[in-house]
Amino acid sequence: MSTTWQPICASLDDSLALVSDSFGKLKAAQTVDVSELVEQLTVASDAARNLNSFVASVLPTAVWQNREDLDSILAQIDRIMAARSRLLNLATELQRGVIVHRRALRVTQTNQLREQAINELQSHAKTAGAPPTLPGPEAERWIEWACALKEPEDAEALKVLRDGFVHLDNLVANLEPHMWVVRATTLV
Amino acid sequence: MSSLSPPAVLSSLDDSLALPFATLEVLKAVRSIDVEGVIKRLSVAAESNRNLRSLVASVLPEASWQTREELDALLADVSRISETRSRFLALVIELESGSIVHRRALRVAEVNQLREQAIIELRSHAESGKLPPILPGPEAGPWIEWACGLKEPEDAASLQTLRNGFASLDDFVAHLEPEMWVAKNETRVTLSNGADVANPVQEVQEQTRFRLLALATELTHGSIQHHRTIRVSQLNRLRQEAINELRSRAESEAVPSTLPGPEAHNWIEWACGLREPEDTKALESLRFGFPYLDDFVANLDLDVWSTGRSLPEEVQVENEDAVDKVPQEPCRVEAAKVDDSPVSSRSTPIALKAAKPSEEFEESQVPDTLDKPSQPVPELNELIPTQVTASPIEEEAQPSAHLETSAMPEISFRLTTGVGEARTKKLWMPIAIAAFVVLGAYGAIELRWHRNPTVPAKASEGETSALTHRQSNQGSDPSEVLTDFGTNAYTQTQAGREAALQNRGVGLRTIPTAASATQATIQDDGRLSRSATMASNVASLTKETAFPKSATQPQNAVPTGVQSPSPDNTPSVAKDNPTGQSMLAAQKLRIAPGGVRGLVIRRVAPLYPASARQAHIEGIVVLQALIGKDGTVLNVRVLSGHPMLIQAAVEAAKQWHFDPYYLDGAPVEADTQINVNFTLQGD
Amino acid sequence: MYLLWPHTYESLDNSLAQFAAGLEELRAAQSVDIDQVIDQLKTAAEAARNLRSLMLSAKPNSSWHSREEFDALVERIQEISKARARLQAVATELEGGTIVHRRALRVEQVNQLLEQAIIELRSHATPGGEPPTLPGPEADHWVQWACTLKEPEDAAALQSLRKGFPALDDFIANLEPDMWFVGTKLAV
Repeated sequence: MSTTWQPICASLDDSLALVSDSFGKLKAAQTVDVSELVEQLTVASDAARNLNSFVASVLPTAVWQNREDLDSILAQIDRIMAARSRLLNLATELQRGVIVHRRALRVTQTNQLREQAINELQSHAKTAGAPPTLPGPEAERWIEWACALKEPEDAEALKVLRDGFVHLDNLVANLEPHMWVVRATTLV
Repeated sequence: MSSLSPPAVLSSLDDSLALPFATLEVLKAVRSIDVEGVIKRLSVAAESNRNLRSLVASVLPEASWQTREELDALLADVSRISETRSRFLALVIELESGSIVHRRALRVAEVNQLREQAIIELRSHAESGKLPPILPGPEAGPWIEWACGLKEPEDAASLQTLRNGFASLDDFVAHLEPEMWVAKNETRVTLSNGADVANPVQEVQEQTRFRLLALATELTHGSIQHHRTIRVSQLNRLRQEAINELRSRAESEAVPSTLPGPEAHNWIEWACGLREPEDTKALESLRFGFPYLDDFVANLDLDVWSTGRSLPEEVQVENEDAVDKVPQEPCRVEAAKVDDSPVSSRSTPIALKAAKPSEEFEESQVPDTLDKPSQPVPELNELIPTQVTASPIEEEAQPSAHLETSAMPEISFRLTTGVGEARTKKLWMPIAIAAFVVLGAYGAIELRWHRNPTVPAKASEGETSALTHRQSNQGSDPSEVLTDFGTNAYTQTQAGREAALQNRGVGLRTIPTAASATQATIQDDGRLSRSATMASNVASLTKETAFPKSATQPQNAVPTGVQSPSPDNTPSVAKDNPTGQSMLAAQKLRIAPGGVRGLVIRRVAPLYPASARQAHIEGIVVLQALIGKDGTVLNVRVLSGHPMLIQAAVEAAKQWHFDPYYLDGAPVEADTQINVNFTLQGD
Repeated sequence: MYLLWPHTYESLDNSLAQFAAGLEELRAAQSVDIDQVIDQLKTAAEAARNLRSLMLSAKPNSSWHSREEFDALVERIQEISKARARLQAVATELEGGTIVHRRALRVEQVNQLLEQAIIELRSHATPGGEPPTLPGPEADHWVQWACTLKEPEDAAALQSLRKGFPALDDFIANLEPDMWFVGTKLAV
């Protein structure tokens, strides 16, 4: 299944455009290649079916009546995909870093929390429907931002985080800024 | 457990058995003995025997022995065990008395739970009947710090010992970062910048209080400008109520309400822009938290509001010299050069600290003129607050602010607050006081004149007497009022002074040109009145104070901030702002405690010196700080304080950061006084 | 083993031993019946008092400071007792003999000397003082031995006899060996 709907939609629209042209010709009592028209209709039908499947894979409960509704749903899917992508980016970022502490016990425990947080993010990214909102900036700056969250000033953000990402919140609550080291990427 | 130590009980037993053992030899030699005496000693020995057995049983219930040698070995164990248990209990006390701080309540709860378990574990070992495990590390006091510094693999041996004997304690210290632990007597209150916060909640509350006070100061700085006096009065009344509300919330022991909106210097503009229904949330928050403030901004249009941060460009007082000469001097303001138009058309907000009690503030000595503009301005000597701590002015003091009396008066001030720079000699201060009072009186007279044309006639009485009276009191009062705000001990008296000062408007006030104070003086009853001879009086004053350019003051020159007779030229600020008038009557420029407090954007509380804490030394360290144009503390000078506390106070004050003080749109340096109160908590 | 006052000695030593054991138990913080220890003390004190009385009755002016001195005193008393018993035995032996001579006058004279010697011996054997040392063997051979004493060979014995027992010495000096009969047999 394609992860983006744009090609499918383009295929649908293109095929429907050709069908529309053919209908126009028919209406004008002009000669139309029926087989080609059927073929175009078939392509359009396949595209519509693919698009329908795609939407159902992301939003199983989505219903729409017209193209506007569909566009709205597709926009929603875009947002969902973006949110999922953000979660996965953060999961990647969490996997990239290294936890350091003077105590091996702490390193082990925090690494366990990190694993749970990564699993949680990945799980949310795979679940159908919209994932919970992850507050904060982009992945590269997220850990630094999260480790600076304080109560009560950041109560709202913390609540959102806690409600949607319990394990991730546990990780950042236990993570001191000096414990997190990001591996430098080597440029070749 | 017996309160006696094993050695003591053992010694008692041996002492009591000495005679019976000696009796044994005597009897063996078939000699006579004192049977009763020996029996008494045996009774004592029996008692000691019981105590010793109880002592051993209390520590080692399962211990058994047959001989004295075995007993001696057991007692050595008992002593060691008792010491170990005492150490455990001392550490328990240390753990119980400290507190965990962290930016996250979740983390605090988790670590506190670990701490509880560690405490339970230590108690269990202390009360166990068996030989307790070895606790590595130092004594209880520095133990936590030591434990939090243990690293792997360097301290593997200690960690292994700790882990083997005290698993829960090890868990606790493994989770404890050094900055999370606040010992019992430590004072750690800092403005939050993400590091080393002892009590985040308290810090937030502190910041909220600062913000409220900053806005109160902003409101006090500003002025209402409206073509209708009654409207000005109404708005000023609402403003005063709003100021009182803000101060009350800031100084209340309850958690202060959160004030919506931006920082103080943008707040009024923001608040005046609130609309319904777009800003319903903010308005609701404002309404519910600060109803009086909401009333004020609801009635306030932005175009009638003038902030007090920058002086009108016409107001200038040039301060050529002596700013560096007098160790204590009043606040002065540096302003841009003015043109030569009559100063009476300028508004001259002057920070004033007057002695008369105000109706608005409990312990203020400032006459309440915000909403009672008709009240007389207090006399000069009454304007000198009673709690000024500045040293008396020296006779040889040069005036730090002199009046430009040339035809093109160019007056500039250097803004210093409180007892600040030792740049001018002290003698000029009463002279300047007199000049300000004269100009202020002139302004008041102008105001009255516009309201009641008969006022000037009345006000012509006692035109020189007040001046003389004032002059005669030059050396009697320390004329400097200090911006005195303590970091931890902000007393009500201070609050009252601060409130009074803020009532007068803080900071950016200029010293009006004395030469042009042709009309104003202070009567014996404290009211300003016109004086035809004021110019000459002022001229004489300026001569006495060696104002360099005061010799020839144009008769028609009007002091900065003093209103001219012409209502058309009277600035609306001066005419309609009783605060400004009473500020004109002020003696000196200074930043009120509240005003400076509102400018603080980063305040670092000092760390309590360990030696002072151990010696139970408390007290106030009084510092004089020079605030730079960028808001940083350029210089800190110690005025008083205990030697053991001074260094910590100075180091903290140097890290403070202020909003720059603006004059005529440009930042200026300012002097202020900081009181740092060291108080031991929890003792 | 004490021959003199053995029971009292034993009582003292036993009670002292028990008392000492009690003190050691007290010193070792053992569970001790203090009343029992006190009783032991009292018993020892009583035994010591008895021994003192015995000693003072045996030797009124005796003094001692230690158990060794007391033992020495007791040994001396025992020696004195033995000496007295020997004198008594010699006196009894003398009483059991018979003087035989052809002349009645001689018999009467020697019997008178015998009587004096017996009286002397018995006098020295009475308690109250330290009797002089009687040289010679045991009683049953004494007369026989004494009759063989010669001067100058046995000068020391004769001197000792003369000094301590002049009457006895007179008797022996006047007794010819063939004059003494014990029972029906010639004793000498």
